[in-house]
Amino acid sequence: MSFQIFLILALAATATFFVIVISIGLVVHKALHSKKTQRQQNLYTEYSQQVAEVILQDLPVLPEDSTASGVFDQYEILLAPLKDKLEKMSKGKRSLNRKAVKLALIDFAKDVAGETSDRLVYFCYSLGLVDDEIKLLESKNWWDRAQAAHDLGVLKARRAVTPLAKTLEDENPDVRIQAMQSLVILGGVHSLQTILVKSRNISQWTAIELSIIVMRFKEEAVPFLIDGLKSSDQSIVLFCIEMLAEIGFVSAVESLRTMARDYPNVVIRAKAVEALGRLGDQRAEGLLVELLANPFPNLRYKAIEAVGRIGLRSALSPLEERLRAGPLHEKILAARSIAAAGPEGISLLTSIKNAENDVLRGVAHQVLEEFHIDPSLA
Amino acid sequence: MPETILIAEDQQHIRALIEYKLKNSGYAVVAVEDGVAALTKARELIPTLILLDVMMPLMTGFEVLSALKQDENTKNIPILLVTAQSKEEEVLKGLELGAEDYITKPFSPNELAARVKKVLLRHGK
Amino acid sequence: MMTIIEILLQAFFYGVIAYFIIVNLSYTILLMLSYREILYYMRHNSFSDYRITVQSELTPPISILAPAYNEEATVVESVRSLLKLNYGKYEVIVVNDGSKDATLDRLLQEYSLLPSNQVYEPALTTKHVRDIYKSNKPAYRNLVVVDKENGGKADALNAGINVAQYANVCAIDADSLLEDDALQKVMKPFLEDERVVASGGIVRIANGCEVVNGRVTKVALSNKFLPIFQVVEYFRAFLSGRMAWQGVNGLLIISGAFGMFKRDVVIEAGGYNHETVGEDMELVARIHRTKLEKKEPYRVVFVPDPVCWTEAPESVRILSRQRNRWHRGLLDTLLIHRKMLFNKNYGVIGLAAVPYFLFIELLGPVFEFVGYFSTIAMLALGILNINMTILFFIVALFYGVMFSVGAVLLEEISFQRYPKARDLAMLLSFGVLENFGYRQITLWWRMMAFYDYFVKGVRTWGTMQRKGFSRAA
Repeated sequence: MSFQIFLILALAATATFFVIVISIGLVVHKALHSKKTQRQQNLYTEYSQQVAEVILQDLPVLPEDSTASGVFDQYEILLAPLKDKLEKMSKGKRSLNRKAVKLALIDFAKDVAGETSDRLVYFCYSLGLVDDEIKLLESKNWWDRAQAAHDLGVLKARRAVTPLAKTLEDENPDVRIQAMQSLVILGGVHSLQTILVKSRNISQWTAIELSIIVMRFKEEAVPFLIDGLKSSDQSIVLFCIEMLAEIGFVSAVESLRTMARDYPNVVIRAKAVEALGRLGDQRAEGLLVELLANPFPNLRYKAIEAVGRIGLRSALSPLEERLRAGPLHEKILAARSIAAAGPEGISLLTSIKNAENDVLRGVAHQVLEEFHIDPSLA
Repeated sequence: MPETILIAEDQQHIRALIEYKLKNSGYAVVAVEDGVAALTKARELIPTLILLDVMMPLMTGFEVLSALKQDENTKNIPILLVTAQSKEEEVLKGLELGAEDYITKPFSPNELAARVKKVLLRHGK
Repeated sequence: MMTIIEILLQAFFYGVIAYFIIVNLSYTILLMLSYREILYYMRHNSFSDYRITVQSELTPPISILAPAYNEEATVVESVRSLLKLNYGKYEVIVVNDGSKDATLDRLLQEYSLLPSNQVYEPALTTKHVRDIYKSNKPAYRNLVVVDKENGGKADALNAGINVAQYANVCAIDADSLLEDDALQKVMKPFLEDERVVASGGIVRIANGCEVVNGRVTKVALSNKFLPIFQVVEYFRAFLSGRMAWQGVNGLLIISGAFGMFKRDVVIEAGGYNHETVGEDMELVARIHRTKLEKKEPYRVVFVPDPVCWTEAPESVRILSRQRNRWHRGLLDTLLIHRKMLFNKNYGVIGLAAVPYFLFIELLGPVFEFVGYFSTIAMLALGILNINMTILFFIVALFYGVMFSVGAVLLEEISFQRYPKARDLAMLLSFGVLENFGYRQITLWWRMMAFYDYFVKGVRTWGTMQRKGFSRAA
C-alpha cells in the first residue's frame, strides 16, 4: 500500500501547491494591481496638472520676424523644470514617471487644438517620447506595436510617417489598422494612397474602420479610391468600389462601368454593378439593363437591384422575364424593381396579381403591400 | 467679486486643463466630475456660467441641461456645452435644449477662454 | 478468496486514481488554454471602438430570433428592449409558438401589427405557420411576428430562420438581457474572419444586479445562496471551459440564450433539431459535423465579453429541472453524434471535445456517484482504508477548489465586472462551499437525468414547454 499512499500524497501536494499558487497569485494580483493603479493614478494626476500648466502658461509674444526656433526655445524653457526633475530620478523611477507623463500628454493631445497642441507635440519630441514610441513599433509584442502606432498618431509625430508606413505591412491586423489611422492623422488624405497600395487582404472589420477614415474626407478621397481600383488585391478593389458608391461622386462612373463590364472577377463586377445602382448615373443604364440577362446569378441579382434603385422604365420587360423565370429570391427582387419603375411597373404587378402561378401571385401581393405600407422600402 | 464658473467634466485631465485656463483668466472656478454633482452644485452656487460636458456618468450633459432649464433659479445661467464628437445632431439638440454655445473636442484652450468671455459679455457681466 | 477481493479492490483503486488524474489534467489544460485566449481577446479588443463602427454602412444586417411561449406578462417589454438595441440594421423576429395565453394579442395590440402578404417558402420544415405580422407604424418597421402552431423551441427557431431575410441570424431567449453593444461584439468575429460560421456570447447571472429598462446597470451578487453557486459554476463553464475550447476550434456548445449564426450554414446543417431537449448544443455539434464531413474550413468562436444576462433559477425545484434537462440534452446530443467519438476524421472534435464531454461532463457524475456508493459499501464491509479515503477526499476537494479559484482568477484578470472585493471573496468561498452539499445535489439531479432518459423515456421538451432558460454547462 505504500506506493498508493505515496501517489495520493503526491496528488495532494500538487493540488495544494496549485491552490496556494493560484490563490496567492489572485490576492497578490488584486493587491498589486490596485496599488499600482493607485500609484499611477497619483502620478498621473500630478503630471496632468503639471502638463496643463506648462501647455497653458502665457508666453511673451515674439517679434514678427522671429524664426520657429525662437518659439522652440521658449518651449524648452517651459519644459526645463520637468526635464530636470525626471533627470534626477533613479532609472526605475524615471521610467515609471515618464510613463505617467506620456499618458498625460497623450490624453491632452486627444482633446486640444491650436497653439496648445503645437506645444504638446514639441514636448513629446523633446522628452524623447516620440523616439521611444517609434522603437516600440518594432517590439515583438503585437499589442505594444499597436499601442505605439496608435499613440504616434495622437501625438501628431510627423517623424513617424515612414516607420508607420512600414507598419502597414505588419503581420497583425490590429497593428495595421492603428498604423492606418495614425497615418491619416499625420498625412491627411494623401496617406490613403500609401494605405491602399500597401494593404493586402483586409478583413471586413478593417474595411469598416478604414471606411470611417475615408468618410471623413469624402470627395477629397475620390482620386485615391479611383487609383485603388487598379490594385491587384481583391479586398482593396471591393473596398474602393464600396466607398466610391457611398461617397456618391459621379466622376467614378466611367471606371466603374468598365469594371462592371470587363473585369475578370465576377465578385468585383457584382460590386461595381451595385455601386452603379447607388450612383444612379444615366451613363450606366444601358449596361445595367444588359446585365439583367447575365448567366451569373449574383451579378444578375445586383443588376436587378441596381435598376430598381434607379427606377428604370426601360428595364420593365427584362425584369418581368426574371420575375417569371427566376427562383423566389430573384422573383422578389425583380418585383420590387418593377414596382420602383413607377405607375407602369405598379400596373404590371397588379396584372400579375391575378396570375395562375401561386408563387408569382404571392410575390406580387407581397411587393405591392410593401409599397403600400412604405414606398421607400424598395 | 469674480464671476464663478462651474465646470462639469468627467475626464480628469480636461477638467484640470479648463480649470487652470479659466483661473488664469481671472474667474473663480468650481469643478465637478459627474452630472448629478453638476446639478447639485449649480443649484447651490448659482454660478455665472456653466461648462457642461455631454458624455458624463450618472447624468448626461443633456439631462443636466434640461433639468437646469426647468428650474426657475437656474434657467437663466448661460451654458456652454462641450461635445466629444462634432456631430451635427448632438450640437443641434444641445442648442435646442437652451445651451448658449458649444465647443467641440479637440478644442483650443485659448478659444475656449475667448468664448467664455464672449458669452459672459453677451449676458452683461 | 481474500486475494480475489484484494486484487479487485486494487484494480478499482487504480481505476479511480487514473480517472481522477485524467479529469484534473483536462481541467488544468483547459484552464491554461483559457488564460491564453482571454489575454489575447482582451488585448485584441482594447483598440475597438464599437460606438464608431456601429455607424458604418458596411456593418451587415442581422435577424434576431426570439421564440415566445406563454409570455403574455413580459413579451411586450422584452420586444421593446430588443427594438432599442444599439446596432445598425437589424430585424426582430418574434415567433409565437402557439401560446395558449394572450402573448400574440398583446403584441398585435401594442405594436399595431397587421397580417402581411409576405411570401413564405420554408427552407426548413416546421409546424404550420399561421400568419406573419408586420407593423404599419414606421417606428416598428423592423419587427416581424410569426404566429405558428406549437412545436417547441427548436421548431419556433426554425420558423424564425425561414422568415429571416438577413444573412446572419441571432437566436436569443426572450428573457435574456442584452448589453448595449452585444450584437457588435458577437458580430465582430464574423467580420474579422470569413471562416467564422457561429459565435456564442457569454451568459452571466443577473440575480442581484440592478436592471433598468432591460439593461443591467449595476453588477452585484445576489443575497441568496443558489444564484451565487451558479455564478461560480458559470464562470467555470464559460470562462475556463468554452473559452479554451474555442481556442482550438472545438467549441461544442453555444448557449441558446445568445448565439449568432450564418443563416445558410444553419440551413445547410438542417436547422434546429426539434426532437431533442439540447437543441442548442445539438445544432453546434451538427454544424461541426457537416463542415468537417465536407472538409470546408470553418470556425466556431466564443466571445467572453459579458454580453448577455439571464435570471438564474432561485428555487431548488426549477434548478433541478433545468439541470436535469441540460444533462438529458448533453446525453442526447452525444448519442446522436456518437459517430464522431474517437474518429480522427473529425479532428479536435472527434478526438478531444466529444470524448471530454462524454467522459468528463456526461459520465463524471456517474463515476462520482459510484465512488460515493462504493466508499459506503466498503465502509459497511469493513474493508475501507479510512486514512486513505480521507486523504483522497481532501485531494479531490483541493482540486475542485483550484478550478473554481482559477475561473474566478480569469474573471479578475479580464473583465472585473464585480467591483467589490467582498464579492470576490464571496465567490472564492462559495467555490469551497459548493463541495459540501451543492455539488452532491447537482450530482443527484444529473443522475436522475439518466433515469428519466433511459427508463422513463423523456427525451423532448414536450409540447408543454414553459419558459426557456439558458444553458450553462
